[in-house]
Amino acid sequence: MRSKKILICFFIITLIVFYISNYSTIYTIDDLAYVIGIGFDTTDDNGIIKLSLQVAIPNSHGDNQGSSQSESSIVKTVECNTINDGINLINSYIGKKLSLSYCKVIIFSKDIPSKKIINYTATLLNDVEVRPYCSVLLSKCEASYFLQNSEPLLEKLSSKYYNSTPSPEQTTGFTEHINLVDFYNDYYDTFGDPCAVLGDITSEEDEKGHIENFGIASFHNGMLTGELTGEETIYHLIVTNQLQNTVLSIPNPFNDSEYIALSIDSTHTKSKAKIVNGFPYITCNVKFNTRILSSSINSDYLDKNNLEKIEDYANSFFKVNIENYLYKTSLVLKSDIAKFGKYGVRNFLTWDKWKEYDWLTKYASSTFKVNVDTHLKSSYLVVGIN
Amino acid sequence: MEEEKLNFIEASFLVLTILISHIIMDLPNMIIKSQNSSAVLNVIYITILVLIYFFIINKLFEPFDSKNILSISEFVGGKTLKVILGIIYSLYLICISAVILRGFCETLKIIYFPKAGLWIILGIFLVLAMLANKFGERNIIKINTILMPVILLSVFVIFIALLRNFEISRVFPLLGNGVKSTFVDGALNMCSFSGFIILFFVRPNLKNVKDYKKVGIVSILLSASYLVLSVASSLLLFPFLTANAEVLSVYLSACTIRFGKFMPRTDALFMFIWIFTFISYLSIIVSYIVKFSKESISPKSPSIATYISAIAIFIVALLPQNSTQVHFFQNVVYKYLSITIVFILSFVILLIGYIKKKKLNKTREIQ
Repeated sequence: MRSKKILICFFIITLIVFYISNYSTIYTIDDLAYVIGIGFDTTDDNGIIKLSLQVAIPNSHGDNQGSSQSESSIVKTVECNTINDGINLINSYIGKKLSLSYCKVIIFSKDIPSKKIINYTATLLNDVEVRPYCSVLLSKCEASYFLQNSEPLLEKLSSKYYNSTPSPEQTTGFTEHINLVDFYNDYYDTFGDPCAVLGDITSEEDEKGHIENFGIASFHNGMLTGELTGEETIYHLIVTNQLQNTVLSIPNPFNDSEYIALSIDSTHTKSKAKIVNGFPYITCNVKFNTRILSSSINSDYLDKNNLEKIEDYANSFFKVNIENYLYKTSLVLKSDIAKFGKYGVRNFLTWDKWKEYDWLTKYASSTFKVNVDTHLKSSYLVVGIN
Repeated sequence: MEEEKLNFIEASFLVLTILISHIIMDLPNMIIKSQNSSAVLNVIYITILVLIYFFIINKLFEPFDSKNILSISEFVGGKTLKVILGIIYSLYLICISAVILRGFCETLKIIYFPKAGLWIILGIFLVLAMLANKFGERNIIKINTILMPVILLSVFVIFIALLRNFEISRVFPLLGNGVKSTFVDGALNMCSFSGFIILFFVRPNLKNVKDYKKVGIVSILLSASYLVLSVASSLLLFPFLTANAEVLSVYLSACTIRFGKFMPRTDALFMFIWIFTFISYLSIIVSYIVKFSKESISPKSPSIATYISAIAIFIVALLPQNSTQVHFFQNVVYKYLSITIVFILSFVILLIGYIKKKKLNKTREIQ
């Protein structure tokens, strides 16, 4: 009786498996074309999208025929009504099914109206294949040009470059890693405004262009409001507690014509926001742990007085620069990209009162107070000559 | 055939399967939409309400030793009331499980089986539930006892993995849409614990009836923890204005998990675990519907009840024409149906039975 039950179960399960296999979509690596980058540009016609897809070539044989970049990938550009129309069109050119599962970067041309950018982002997030953690980039040049020339200096394959590049906040701090889901969420977030990485292709005469991601672009109310330089981005990362490692130079307090390079190992920023006379009053207490990188024949970093002098100088220097960055976001960009709203919201008990206050508009009239505490641990190997 | 007797662990996990499966449905999303930033506070509040409710229920059950609510309803209103209540509970379980199954199968279809017909995916779950019931209740309970810790661990892992991406400020403003919305209108979110209905029936199956209180408290607290973790994962991760997705919110949270470059996608693993959760859930639901029919209508062959209940769940699951209707049922009909049947009707029957029993005992004492 028991064996009869087991046989019936086995028979039913086999039937189910065979029936399901008709509906399964089993694609091997050779059946798919992997998209590693998607680019969007403007056209003269408002309703038309210029879509570019950078497709990886899995087995490159050094044949450049028809490819517009290096042997590792090709870029196809089409004009279409919707993103999915464009993907369909490119599918017909490529001859394989396009897979967006390995898309690493989405590039928007700076000329695209911001409201369209968010619509494209929503459409991409709606796709089951697109992963929410692919990077979002605003390109100063055309997105198709960026993809065609996105050849990194020390990496042959763009796909590997997009995949293996460490986050800028771990190494340089000149830009931020912003992904698709964060960009989309920030657009609707009442705590702050969205920002995107600023990218460009730089080239010199007779040389091929290379990727240069430097600075960030800020948005407010769905509009692009401005840009932060690389150095301002470092202060942005410091204030938002994202910076892990960078190098900053300050004027040498002992010699006006020289600079001292400081390696910033870790930063910790504690921010608070109060409402004073109806406007935000934001305080940032920043702590740095630094070491001196540059050394000279006369430097003496064992002397406590010298270290204290450099610390005081660094404190004033960073305080001024951080305040400049904060007031630029408030007065010029009018964009709370540091998301101080998450501190401001603690002053409100209900959601209606918070919405009524309209933090993102009031941010333009904010006042800031910055305190910097630099802890200098001396230098590395050469500490000075006695 | 004697009914299966459950120990404390088996009974707790049985109740937990029902409670957790209802939560996977889309309850975190529903709570966040109605409560905004006070969603976590609201969940803690409704947990306290449900615990208080359970203590009252436990007290009302005491004079009846190891009887379930259907037997008590017979004591209250005779065989007629028992049959009516049996039908009501069966229909309730059929409707709720059908909607939950439909929601889960829609997610599976969107993500993994876009070409397959929805009826095939639904049918597979129900065929497996019927097969499980053919093997007997003991096997369902044993498999469920093995699966439950894995399921609980998966939710805990999701929460821990997402911890660094959480924005704690999203619990502010603390009162969300206001005191009335959080504590008065928000009390309706007790429907999140609609799986509580099993606690009205599990009592006679316990090896030791005294374990009933422990089973109730443990399963409510564990499922409340699960609900808090699921709500917190969605609330602290996404600005709630964007928490309006077609697929399960728990799945969306799982999508954003990355264990470095080694394991960039873990959502498939969690879906795999939840598929087994649903098979276990459906098996338990079908077995309980069969029990209700045995107690109320006493069919000649229990197998017929198994097939009929599975077919009924299948038909009801296919009724909604589009996702708008599914969402309407999940967010509106489910809420009021659960509150009415689980928290009001059952309570009223128990209360009347308790009062009647006390009067009867008093009369006997006097005599």
